[in-house]
Amino acid sequence: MNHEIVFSKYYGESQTEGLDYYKKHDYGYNALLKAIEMGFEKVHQEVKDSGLRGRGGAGFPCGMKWGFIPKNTEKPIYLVINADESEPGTFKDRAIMAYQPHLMIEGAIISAMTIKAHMIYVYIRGEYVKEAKILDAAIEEAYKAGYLGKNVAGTGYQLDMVVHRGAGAYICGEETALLNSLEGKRGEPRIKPPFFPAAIGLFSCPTVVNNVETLACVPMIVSKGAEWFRSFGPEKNHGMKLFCISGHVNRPGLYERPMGYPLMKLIEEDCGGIWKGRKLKAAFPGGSSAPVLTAEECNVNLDFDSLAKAGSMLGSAGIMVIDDATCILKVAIRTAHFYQVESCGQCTPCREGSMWLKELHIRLEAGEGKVSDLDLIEDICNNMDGTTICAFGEATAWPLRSMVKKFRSEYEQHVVEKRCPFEG
Amino acid sequence: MAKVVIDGVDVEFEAGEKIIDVASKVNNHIPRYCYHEGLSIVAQCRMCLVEVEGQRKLVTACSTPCTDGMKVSTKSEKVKKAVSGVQEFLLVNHPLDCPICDQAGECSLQEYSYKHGQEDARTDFFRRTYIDVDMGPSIKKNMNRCIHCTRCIRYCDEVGQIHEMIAQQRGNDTEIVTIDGNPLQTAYAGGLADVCPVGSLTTKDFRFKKRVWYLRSKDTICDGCSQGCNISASFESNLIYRLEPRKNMDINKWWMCDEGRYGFHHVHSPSRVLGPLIKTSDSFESRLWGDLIPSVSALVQQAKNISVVVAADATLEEVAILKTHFSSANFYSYSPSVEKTSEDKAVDHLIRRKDKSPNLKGLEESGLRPFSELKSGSDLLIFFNAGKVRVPYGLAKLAKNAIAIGVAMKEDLNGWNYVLPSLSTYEKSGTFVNHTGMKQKFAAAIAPVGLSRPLNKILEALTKSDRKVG
Ligand SMILES: Cc1cc2nc3c(=O)[nH]c(=O)nc-3n(C[C@H](O)[C@H](O)[C@H](O)COP(=O)(O)O)c2cc1C
Ligand code: SF4
Ligand code: SF4
Ligand code: SF4
Ligand code: FES
Repeated sequence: MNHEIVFSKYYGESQTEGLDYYKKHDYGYNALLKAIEMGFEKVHQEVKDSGLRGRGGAGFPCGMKWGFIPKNTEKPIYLVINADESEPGTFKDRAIMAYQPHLMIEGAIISAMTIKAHMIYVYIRGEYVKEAKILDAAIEEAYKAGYLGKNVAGTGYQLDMVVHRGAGAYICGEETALLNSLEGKRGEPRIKPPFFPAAIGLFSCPTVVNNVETLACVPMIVSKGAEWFRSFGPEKNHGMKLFCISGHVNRPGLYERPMGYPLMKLIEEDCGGIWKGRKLKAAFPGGSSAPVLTAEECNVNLDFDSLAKAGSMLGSAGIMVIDDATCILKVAIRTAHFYQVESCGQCTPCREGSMWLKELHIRLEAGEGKVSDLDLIEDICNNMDGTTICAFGEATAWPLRSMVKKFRSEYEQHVVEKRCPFEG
Repeated sequence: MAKVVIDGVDVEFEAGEKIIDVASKVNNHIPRYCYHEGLSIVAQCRMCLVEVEGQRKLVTACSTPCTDGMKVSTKSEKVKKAVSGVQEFLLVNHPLDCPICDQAGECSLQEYSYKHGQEDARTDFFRRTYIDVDMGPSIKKNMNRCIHCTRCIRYCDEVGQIHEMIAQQRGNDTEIVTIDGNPLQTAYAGGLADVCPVGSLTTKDFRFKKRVWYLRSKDTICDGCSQGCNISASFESNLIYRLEPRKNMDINKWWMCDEGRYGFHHVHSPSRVLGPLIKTSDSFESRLWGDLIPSVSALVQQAKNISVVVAADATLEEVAILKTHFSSANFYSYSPSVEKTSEDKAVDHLIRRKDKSPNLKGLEESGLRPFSELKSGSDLLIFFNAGKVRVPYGLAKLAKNAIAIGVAMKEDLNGWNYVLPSLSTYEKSGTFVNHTGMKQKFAAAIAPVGLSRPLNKILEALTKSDRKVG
């Protein structure tokens, strides 16, 4: 399996965030200069050819998304960087911004010039205070060095970049909620149609929203070519990828591996297996919004299509590992609680369903549930699935439904024994 | 013309029209909470989900435009399941206090529960509760019943055009509030009770007054200003309980103002003079019509010159009757807020007008002169009104004798020789001409109150030998 460390070369070291360091150890804005030389139509083609798929969760082809921006529009075009990173178990964008902010900035500049945007907004998760400061400083360096401002790298192209800090809402990671929030409105997802960002995005203008990691892939694609990028990972799932592993493994952390890397290999070899000599019980492969995988199902490769085939998803690549001493209902309560408090509340099924699900799980875990509650949970999930404005409804329904389906006997045990079997 | 097929029925549509409205054209009512024709589309309640052939997910009929050849099913199993799911979700936290809720009987939640809901409740948890909140002079909020459709927020923003209602918190904790709990500023607050599909926002005026299934309603015209909003009056046992707007896209669209909405209380006011009165040396005395008519008739006959002041809440028909009866008199129109229609103007962005009378235009077109031209000293002054325009203070003093016909309040009697009770707008039929010149006919909603009589009957009695008021 082709393997090359492209992101995490110097993660964990100190003072890697400056421009000088980036010039010495990384692309150093040479990719930008190359892109200017190539011409941006070619850059666009290269990104399309690379097969780069969005790293924000949905895995949408990046080059195709850029192509949706209407040609010859009179309105300004915006590039918005989704740095809201709030998916439980996810901390990859944070590392990019903390250790190599210029990689993201360089990628953003190339992308902005490709889609003809003159303004870049970075919407960063409110809790990432340190990272926001680092970004601000790095952007200032880029301005001083002439990569941003009135005359980008001597081309006469004007490009500005601003960091906007969120105010603590998971839902503002959903791209249209993010745009609302950026406009100063309530962070509520917009209805599509009519609000497809490429046509009616930020301030009703054509907008591309891309994840931090997606844009950080752009300089390397420009620099080393689509072919090189495609050399990693299986067909249609290319590139090196940052995987966040948390939970019950011996060495949790951030691992850079090629797309399609086997999950079990990551857990067993790279992370040193399950902690405390216990056994693997289950894992969320892509944040808490992904349907859970049982231990057997964990024999799967980490890429968009393999996980979709396995009935789950790569999502944000936030892998959360659960050992066999853990009550799955406690995991479900935690999950349901998260979605209850983070739902924006617009859609009836999401607003009411998330709360109802949490109450049912609390009751079941405490041994006060009924057997019929299990079917009820499944039915509530069915009624939320596909009936809401944004994917949050599914993000709630899918993992909770997967848990009750796959660990039904454990749920039933709680009912029959009228207590949690995991409590002494 | 382009067509969609909705449940097997071909329906034509115009570009941009949404499935929900196109289905309505063939009486296919798709259930809705957040959608309101007059407000922007948010597709939040998810009640209007329908299936479109070729699309994996259900779509919301309120936000999805029709395309040529689109095949829509509003009743497939998948739709039924989703819609009954949404309905159930709405009830998870609903108090179901219909027996004490004013909306009961005209509540979308009740209606759709029958049509799309499930028989049993599958939830047995405590429900969200809030205390009732006063939102200013017009509206009281019961947040427990709220289904978060945000119609009210959009109504304030888009119709009232004051950003004063918001959703606070998020998700399950979302609460609809006025900003900082301030009283509502809008002159259209009462409309919140109309747009709220449940019993969450109710007008204080109507709250707890009457179960709606006892009410009947009749179409009429608001007499509160020169706009002439189309409304309906709800009543029981000849008592009016509330006024509500009727859709008229040329005049008031779906709306009416608070002044108009609550402007019917003079009809049943304890101050209203409900029987004929005659002035005595130090007070007024009630008389039966028959006892009073001869002396009124004599007074009219003796008068050499008569001035008739017609309040601009009189109908065209009444003006014609007065002109026929007092053919040699001088006629003047009277509106309390403007002298002539040329002074009338819009007082806000929506519908309210400066002229607080409904028919000044009609009076002018009937040839009545402006009130300012009225000279004092005539033998007899006759004033006619319908009560929305009040009897002007001091008017009676401008002539030797004065007769008020219409709707008078006990506080307004000073100076009149006779007060003859006639009808308010709701008790009669007739025609008003609004500020744009639009003629609007309306019928009586209720029967005459007390001993009040129609103008034509009173005037006929003056000339009849039997002196009876029919
Ligand atoms: C509930 C919800 C939360 C999301 N949160 C994030 C997030 O924190 N970061 C992110 O990049 N994308 C997030 N997304 C995905 C974005 O909507 C969007 O697809 C993504 O930013 C597009 O970028 P990409 O094409 O580069 O992946 C979220 C989506 C949903 C439905
Ligand atoms: S699905 Fe949930 S989070 Fe998404 S718009 Fe609807 S209520 Fe908000
Ligand atoms: S108060 Fe009424 S109109 Fe406002 S959101 Fe609640 S249910 Fe809708
Ligand atoms: S705008 Fe005028 S006519 Fe309309 S409701 Fe108000 S007072 Fe009545
Ligand atoms: S009426 Fe369509 S979603 Fe509410």
